[in-house]
Amino acid sequence: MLHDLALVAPQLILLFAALFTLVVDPFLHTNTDARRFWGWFGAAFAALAIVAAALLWKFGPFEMQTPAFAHHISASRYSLFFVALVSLCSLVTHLASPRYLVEQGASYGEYYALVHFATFGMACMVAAESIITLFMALEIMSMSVYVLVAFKRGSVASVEAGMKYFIMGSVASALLLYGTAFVYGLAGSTNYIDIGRTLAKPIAGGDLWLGLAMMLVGAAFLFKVAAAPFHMWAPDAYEGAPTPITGLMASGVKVAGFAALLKFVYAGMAGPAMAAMHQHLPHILATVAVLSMTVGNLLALTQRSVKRTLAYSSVAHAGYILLGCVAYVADPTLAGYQQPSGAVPFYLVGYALASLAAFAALASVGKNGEELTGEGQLIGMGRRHPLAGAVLGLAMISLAGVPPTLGFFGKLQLVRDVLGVDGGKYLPHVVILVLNSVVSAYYYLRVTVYVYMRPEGRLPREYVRESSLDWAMGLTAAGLLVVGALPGRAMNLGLASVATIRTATATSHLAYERLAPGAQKTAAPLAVAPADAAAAQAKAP
Amino acid sequence: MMTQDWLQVASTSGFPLLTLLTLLPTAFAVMALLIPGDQPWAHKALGLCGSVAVLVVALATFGVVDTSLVGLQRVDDFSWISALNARWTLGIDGLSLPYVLLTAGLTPLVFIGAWSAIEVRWKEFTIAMLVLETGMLGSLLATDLLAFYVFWEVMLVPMYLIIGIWGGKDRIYATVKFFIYTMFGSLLMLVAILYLYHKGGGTFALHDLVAVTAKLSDKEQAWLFGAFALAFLIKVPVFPFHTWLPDAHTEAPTPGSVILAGVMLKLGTYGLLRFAVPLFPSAMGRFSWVLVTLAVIGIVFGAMMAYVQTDVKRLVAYSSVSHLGFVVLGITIFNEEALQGAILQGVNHGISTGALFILVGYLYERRHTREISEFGGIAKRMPVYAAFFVFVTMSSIALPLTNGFVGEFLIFAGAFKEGIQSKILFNATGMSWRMVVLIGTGIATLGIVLGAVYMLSMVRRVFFGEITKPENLRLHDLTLRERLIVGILCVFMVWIGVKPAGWLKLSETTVHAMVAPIRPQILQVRAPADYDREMKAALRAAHPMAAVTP
Repeated sequence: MLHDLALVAPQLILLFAALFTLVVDPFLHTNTDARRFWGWFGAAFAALAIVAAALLWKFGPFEMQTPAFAHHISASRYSLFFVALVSLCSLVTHLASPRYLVEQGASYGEYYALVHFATFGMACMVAAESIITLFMALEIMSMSVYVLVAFKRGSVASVEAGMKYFIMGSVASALLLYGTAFVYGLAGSTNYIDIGRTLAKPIAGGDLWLGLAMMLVGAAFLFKVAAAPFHMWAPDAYEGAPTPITGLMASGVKVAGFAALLKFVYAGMAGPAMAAMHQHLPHILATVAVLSMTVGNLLALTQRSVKRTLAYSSVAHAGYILLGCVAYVADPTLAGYQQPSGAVPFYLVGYALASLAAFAALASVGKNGEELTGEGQLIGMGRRHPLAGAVLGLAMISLAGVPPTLGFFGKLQLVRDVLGVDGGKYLPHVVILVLNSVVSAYYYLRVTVYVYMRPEGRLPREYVRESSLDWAMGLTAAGLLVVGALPGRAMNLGLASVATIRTATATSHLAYERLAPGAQKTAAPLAVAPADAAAAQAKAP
Repeated sequence: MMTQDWLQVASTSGFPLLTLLTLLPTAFAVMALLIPGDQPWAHKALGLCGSVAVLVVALATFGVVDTSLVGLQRVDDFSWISALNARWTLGIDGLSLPYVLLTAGLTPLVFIGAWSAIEVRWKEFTIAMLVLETGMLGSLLATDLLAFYVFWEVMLVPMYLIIGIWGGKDRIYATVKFFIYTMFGSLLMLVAILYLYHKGGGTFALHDLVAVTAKLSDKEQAWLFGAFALAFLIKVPVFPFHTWLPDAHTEAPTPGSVILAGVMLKLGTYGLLRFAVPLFPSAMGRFSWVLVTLAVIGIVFGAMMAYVQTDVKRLVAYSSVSHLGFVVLGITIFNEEALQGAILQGVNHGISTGALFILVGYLYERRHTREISEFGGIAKRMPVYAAFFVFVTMSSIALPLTNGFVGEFLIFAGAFKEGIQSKILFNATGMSWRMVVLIGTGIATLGIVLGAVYMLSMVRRVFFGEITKPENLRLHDLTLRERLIVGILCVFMVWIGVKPAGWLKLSETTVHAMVAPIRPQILQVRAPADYDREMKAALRAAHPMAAVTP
């Protein structure tokens, strides 16, 4: 039991922070201004969760999945990587929030508790080992975010956004539940490993039901990550939500969605019974990816509010990441024999940091209950608030994928890995991605044009200043530049994290199918060093 | 097939001199970041100190490079991104050395010139300029394709800001156009780089990839060459990809125009020479006629467009299109004379056009207009300025004893030699390379005449005649600082014009070593009969006895 608890230490830290905030806050007889300290408190606990994840990574034998609580949740390098990433999103959100909330007249303690709950949900989602955990974690995250979106009680736009997001999100949750029900019906278990074992043998007539299940689950996840054609909620929700929460939605929710999706597909749905479907999956993913990036970019061009622009840009980025997923699922047996690709985790780091930076910078413009995030309202920002202007500009450059920022290297690795699939089979998709980047550069640049280049009017604008907000912007900007200049280490971390689920899947399959005598032995080295995977693959029959 | 020795490592170094040279400007940019923005004098001083320090390091590099050696020298090779097998590989040879010196030399002059041209936001300007210098030097030194690409793109953002923040009235349109155009070209090049990377078994190293490309099919080579060439031709820019240039040049502040014309355009031709042609020589052979045609159209079209401009700066911008057509022509011909001419002409254009932009900037600072019709007779009020301007004009239109003459002469000498010696009438595609070269070069010669026409007519309208506008009566002549900047550039114009031998020697060995393996591969495709003839001649030269007894 204690061992199990240790494995989920980061999640427990987040949960404790949430409960502590919730319980203690009502007893604080202070004014709203003083509640800003919850921002620092939350950031500290998020940092603690990151440290815990890092320690587990360093000292635990997590090259393999280490299940806890009867295979309902696990710790692995994969989950730890993403737990650390969503905690980082939470950290920046906490730092960016306090002054913004005071200005918007919504400085309540529940806000911080809800951010913690949402992060807790995300952290459990990426570590889920069974359908039940996945669904519960997803709901904890979603419910918290629904409330947070509508948190500006006085603002009609905010409440409307929360309502829309809630209703459409509930449909998505229902789809997920329905889809996983089929899986349960076929496999007789909610556990990823058991599902994987059952699906290792072909099931008579199973293609139809599995296909239906994947379609429903896929739609639910596409909704959560705001990929076209399930992106309709994004612009309204992004625009109406409090700006730091928009940052959390763009970064944390998306990260958790993609991480959980990949893990579900890998760990649960990778068996040979799925072979027929997996032949089509890369094409389907690639098509949705192209659709999503094109739709997102074209619609972003027409927006005039930066928050809406970034909402559509997040649809486009969901498309890029989906194309990156092709590099994972293009191997029809999905047994992890291919050279693993660390593109998606690494891309998510870059995208999350850039989004957080952008929304933190935008959080500094709101004043007295107004958002002021229209493009025209950013004029002069570069001079009046140099830090926010520079960070916003840097975030745009990174989102556009221009070197030497992190966004470039994310896109680079993604394109590299997708091009490597089947000898350049996805070259047309990659070219479309690149052309999309050019289109997107136009609207990202437009933001910098307003920040730096348009002639300023006579009225000087005041900006919100707060040390925690400066920290939020400084941290994310430093991340974009420093990791951008030396991306090697982060890339290796991403690779190592993905290698765990790949090798775990490969091991269980090899062991189960008894492809060769001593299959366990063959598989064991895979787990230790991902680089050896290719060599081991060559030896495998 | 001969190996491309000129891309091999000739010498490594214990001290990472080239890394220092590349990152030093950024180090100064970081310092500028730490100084508050309300102290412009500090940033002016820092920018100058930084760029002079870079110049000193560049001269030290020049001191330790042995131009008689084949191959890349003082190579710094570190692991950079192990997950992608991308390396930090910087090396210098006779091809990059002239441009490194040009870049390092122009930047301090630009900083001094900017003291009056840039009035606000000195902090941002200093940072942008220094980061830009890192991008330019890195692009010139990197031989790892990914490192090169990163530096190539690093140039983009600072220049975007320089045009967009300190530029003229239509600066936003111009700078966004510049950014999007360039990014479009370079992203397609990135896809091509990654395609090559996979074909080469996961390496970005240029000398490894050169061996890989020969094994690709003709179709693949053509597409990849197209992607590389497009990126570079947009940057040069060659007709019909030039439309961003007049806007960007005209709207950019003087320092931006000088760097843009002086160095960044040259990086397009440098990229062709360093990457596109060595990687895909046979595709180059197939498309030589396209490049010659585009270059010649650019020469004539640029000159004609320059002639009808009413804005002096726009005129100079179009003259760049025309002048760089000569450079592309020389590169396409790809024999030793033409290449030497093309490399030197790149440097010449940087000096002469840079000087022209600086001079136009002086006028703009005084009158806040650049319309030719606003001037007339100002030689009477500004004799020194007029003298400098006329001198730089002479250099720009390639008067003998100025630098422009040497470069253009060599290009034409190489081109006519190629055309006259070419024996073939029609090659496999029904194209006569001899006719393409002779007709093309013939028309290009016309471009020189046109160059004289548009420049001299502009000079006449601006400087001579009666003073018609009362504002021009109050113009004051150049200050000492202004004279110093242009004076330094003029010294180099004369120096290269009168004694070009030393300058040509910088790149002589490299060009020789580059032509030897690449030219046969180009010729094989574009003029097979010439290929046979040159191969026999090379054999005779290598084995004199064999020639006597056939």
